Amino acid sequence: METASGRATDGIGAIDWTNMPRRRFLRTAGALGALAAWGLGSSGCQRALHRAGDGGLLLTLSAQEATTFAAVAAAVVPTQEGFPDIETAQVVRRFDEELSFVSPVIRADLKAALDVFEWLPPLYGHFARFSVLDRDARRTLLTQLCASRIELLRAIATNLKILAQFFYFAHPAVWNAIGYDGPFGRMPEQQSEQRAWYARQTMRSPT
Amino acid sequence: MTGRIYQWHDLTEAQTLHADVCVIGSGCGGATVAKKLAEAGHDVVILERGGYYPESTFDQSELGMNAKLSADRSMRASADGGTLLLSGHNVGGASVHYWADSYRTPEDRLQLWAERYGVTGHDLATLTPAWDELTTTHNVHPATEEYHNRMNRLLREGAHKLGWEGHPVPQARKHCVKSGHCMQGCVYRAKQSQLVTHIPQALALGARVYADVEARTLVWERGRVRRLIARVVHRPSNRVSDIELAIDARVYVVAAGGFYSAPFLLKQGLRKQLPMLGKNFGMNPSAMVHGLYDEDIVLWRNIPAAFGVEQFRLARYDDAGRYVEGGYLLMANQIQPGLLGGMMPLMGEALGEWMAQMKRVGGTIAWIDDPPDELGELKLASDGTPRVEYPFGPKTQAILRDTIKKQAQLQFAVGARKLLVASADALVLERQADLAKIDTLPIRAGGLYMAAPHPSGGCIMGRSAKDSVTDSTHRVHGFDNLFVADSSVFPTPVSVDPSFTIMAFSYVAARHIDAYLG
Repeated sequence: METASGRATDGIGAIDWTNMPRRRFLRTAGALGALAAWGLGSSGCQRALHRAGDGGLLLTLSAQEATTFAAVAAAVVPTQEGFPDIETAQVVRRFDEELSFVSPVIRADLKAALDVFEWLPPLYGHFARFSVLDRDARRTLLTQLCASRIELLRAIATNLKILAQFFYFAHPAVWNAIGYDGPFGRMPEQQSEQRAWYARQTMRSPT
Repeated sequence: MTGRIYQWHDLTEAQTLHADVCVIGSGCGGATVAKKLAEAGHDVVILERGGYYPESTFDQSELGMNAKLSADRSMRASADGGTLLLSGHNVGGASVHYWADSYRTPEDRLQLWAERYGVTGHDLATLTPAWDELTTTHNVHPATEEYHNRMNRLLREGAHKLGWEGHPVPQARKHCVKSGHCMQGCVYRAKQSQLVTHIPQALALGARVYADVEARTLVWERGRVRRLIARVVHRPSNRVSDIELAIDARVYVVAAGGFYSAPFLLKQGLRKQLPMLGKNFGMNPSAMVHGLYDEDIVLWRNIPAAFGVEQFRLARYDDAGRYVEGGYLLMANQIQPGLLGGMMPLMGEALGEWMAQMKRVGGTIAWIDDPPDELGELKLASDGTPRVEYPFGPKTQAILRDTIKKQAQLQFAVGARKLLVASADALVLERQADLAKIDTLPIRAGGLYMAAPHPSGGCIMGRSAKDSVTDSTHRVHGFDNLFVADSSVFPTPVSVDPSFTIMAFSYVAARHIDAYLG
């Protein structure tokens, strides 16, 4: 938990969150998150479904990771009339697709970041996981974390927020709300081999 | 003799290739050195880790083209997680998604490299003939009036009002249609990237390009590279297959780009022999300020950087060595809605208010000239990909703070109603008096929303293996037939867009390689 002055006062035993190297931080926090998930018996049953909130099959994200990312995305995108929701803008699905093609270390870091994020709220005085907080609480927490004195928390929060907003505003369903007239000449999509491959992979029956 | 481009579906079984020269990478460095060596009559093979995407596969989709052209889909960040690292990952490299700015290296920078780092043979007199030729082949010319969109005109107007020096930016373009999709690849072949210049020119001279091939292991024999082992990448899944290519060549040129060349050599276990490998790494972190105007700006059309403010290119220090101001180029920003939305440090209704007025959102960006004594280091991540450690030292912080202030000052001077600093604190400025708030803005990793598109260093050029990785002929110290030709040889950042410097340096590299081949 952070004090008003922003100094980190860790909420779990004697772990020095401020000075911990990045990889060790992710591993430690991810392990704590996984342990908590196992203890509560919540994550295991969701993971078996391996589906996004829109019902589609996911290739890279676990169901819990997708739920956490959806909670981040729904907290950051505009809610005024005319702006579509994150399902319409396919934010989680696009994130899953993009993540399927990046280097293993990036994929692992972002997945670990989602695990950390899901289990951070207790350190900030919330007695719930991130994805079950109401939207205002999620926004408040995100704002806190983006400006945190702890470099890794800043990095996790900021990167997840940037990615969610990037995938959201790049989707054609959003363009009307922002007055964007679309790509020059409105060319039809030239589907890459990777888009086609991802589509084929996620059309399979869930396991 | 005409070469051809081989892709993953052509490479279904293991094979051994023979050539005079094997070039690893096809961007501004690799494609240029390949073309010049092919022109000199050598048999050249170019390997490219990314795919071959000709214009027929371009659709100007922000996400779709980012996936085709950008390494790790622009999701790689510095080790502190604070800066997004942008680089190319396709035949033609980053030139396919760059802005086409084509500055000749400032003479003060060439002198710095010569005097402090011992670089020889890369002076103005040597490089000028290369730039003269490239000016013709790439149709480089200052942006004319019709290519100044509203934001560029405001930038120019602001610079004039404030008495800041600036000029139209030299552009490598031909018959530009002002689509605004430079970062998505130019469908119209107007932007003179390597994909439409040196790659086809090299092919016409007989060079062979192997796309979807990852260079992996150099095989050594008495201080020489005897063979390169590479693997074919299954493009649909972007996974490295077990199909092996062996390339037997007389010369090997590492031109994998500023983020990748040093890590490739680190993977060969050369750190002990080359203690400077990976060091002196710069990346031009870019700070940006968004502005809300009372008129339509339409940031996403026409060319990105028609006008550049050069007043502050070099940092100024007082007699006691204290930082005063400068150390960056100021440009108009140009990003399509996904990236603009991503770079907005707001959320919810506040984000909606800005984005609903996107036509009236303008903005500026600054490429900082990383201070030479605060450069970072390239290391290897656990999966063998680059790990970028960047310190954000006190001078770097001062430069970033100063550029945010100057960007805000300029935008207020031309009528911005409200400004939003791309910072985690979402600093909003509504009047000139608010500029003082910038003095307390935390400048730190992840504190500013930044991207880094211009890597340099990691294989710097110099006198000996004690202070550098290559000598001034681009040859790796201690290795007879191994050369480097890209921005990783720069001892410091260039202080302007590096593409024209990379190409001119590659002319020099090609000349030395040609002499070696005899």
